[in-house]
Amino acid sequence: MQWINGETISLVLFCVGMYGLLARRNIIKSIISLMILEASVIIYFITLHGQMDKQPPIGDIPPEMMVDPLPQALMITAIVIGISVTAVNLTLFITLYHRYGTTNWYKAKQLQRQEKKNG
Amino acid sequence: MAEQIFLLLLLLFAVLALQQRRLRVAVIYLGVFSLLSSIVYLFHRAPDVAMAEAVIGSTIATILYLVALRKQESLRERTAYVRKIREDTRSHVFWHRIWAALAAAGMVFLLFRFYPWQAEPFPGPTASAYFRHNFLSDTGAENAVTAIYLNYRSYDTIFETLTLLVSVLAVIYLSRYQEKSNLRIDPQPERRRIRLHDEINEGISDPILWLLYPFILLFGFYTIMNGHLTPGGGFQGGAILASVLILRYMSAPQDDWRMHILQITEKLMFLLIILLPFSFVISGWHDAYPWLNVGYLILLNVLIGVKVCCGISLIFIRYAFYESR
Repeated sequence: MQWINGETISLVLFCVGMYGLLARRNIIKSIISLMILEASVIIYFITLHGQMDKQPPIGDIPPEMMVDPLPQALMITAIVIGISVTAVNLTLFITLYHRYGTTNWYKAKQLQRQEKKNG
Repeated sequence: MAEQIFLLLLLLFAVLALQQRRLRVAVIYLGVFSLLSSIVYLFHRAPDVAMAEAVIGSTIATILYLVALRKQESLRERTAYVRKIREDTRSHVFWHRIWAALAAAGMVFLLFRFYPWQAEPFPGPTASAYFRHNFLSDTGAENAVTAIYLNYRSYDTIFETLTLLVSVLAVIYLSRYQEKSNLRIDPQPERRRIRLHDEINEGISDPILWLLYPFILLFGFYTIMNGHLTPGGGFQGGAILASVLILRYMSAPQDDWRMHILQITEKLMFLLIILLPFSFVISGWHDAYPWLNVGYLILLNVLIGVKVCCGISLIFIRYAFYESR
């Protein structure tokens, strides 16, 4: 059971997110898989060296006992950017629903082709 | 052992969220996924990231998804879209699923095969080693993560706040779809008026919320101001303050002028966020006046907190309450 750690699980999560993006018909499911992709990258960076015997990077502790603070600072930024991307995606989804009246990628594509054919 | 259980649960909930047919349940599974990932960050000694994920990823993202689903349902109730595609699209997606499953399995195999499992840490001096040794004396912050994103790498913070501003602009611009809408919305929807604020007004009662607002505001300001001493900071505290505004708008929708004030405040904060690190850190003045260090940290945290609060509440207000402009 040694190989179930953050790195391996985040790699598998990334592939789960890719599968969801490729294989789901619903638009909301695609947006959910984008969020899973982003979460997997963040989990990867935070669990990178697996140092669970060290201490959080707060306070006056010796530097050898401190977990690496640099990925944590960057991942806070990544989380906020992830939610702004999600908000823009959901706005685009509502606009798409106004345009084509469906939440199915394939039906929306067929409607778009029909509209283009009809001019 | 406990961490491994949580990681496996994480995988389980991600797969469940994608498999689930009912979209509301899938969104709730995604919220639980975010919460479990926040707990995993706690296991790995990252309290700042855990707070950010719990407030922003688990709460605000779930609210946005649920609002999107409600909007879509209310549109579906009220409109008569003429050209419907009646065919079943399951056959379209069958071969896509086979290919996607093969691609995902292939990717897993390649990643595990060529990943450097036995890589050693970099032997020479690294940036994070410098940060770990010198953050207290250089910046005056006891929280190393705050020292990094406010002082050592303040460029990242500037660009991140710029990204939030751009996403607010994108949400406002992309929600103007009146002229392109193909849905014939009923002018007098008498049969079943499902409007967003009507339904919500029935559910939430005001006196309980008025009791809660001071505590949430206090907690939010505490998190912002003490970000350089304890886990927390501008981003987390800003999201907590934004949740107050979201609650306020869900219980009693207001007029336009609030949104105008939020927009002006956000842009002003962004200007100050650009000016402050450039004038204090990047220009080198912090070596000349080291006693201003802690004041700089608190001030920049407050600016970031107010900006993130304005940005997130603007996204929510514009997105939830404007059908077409």
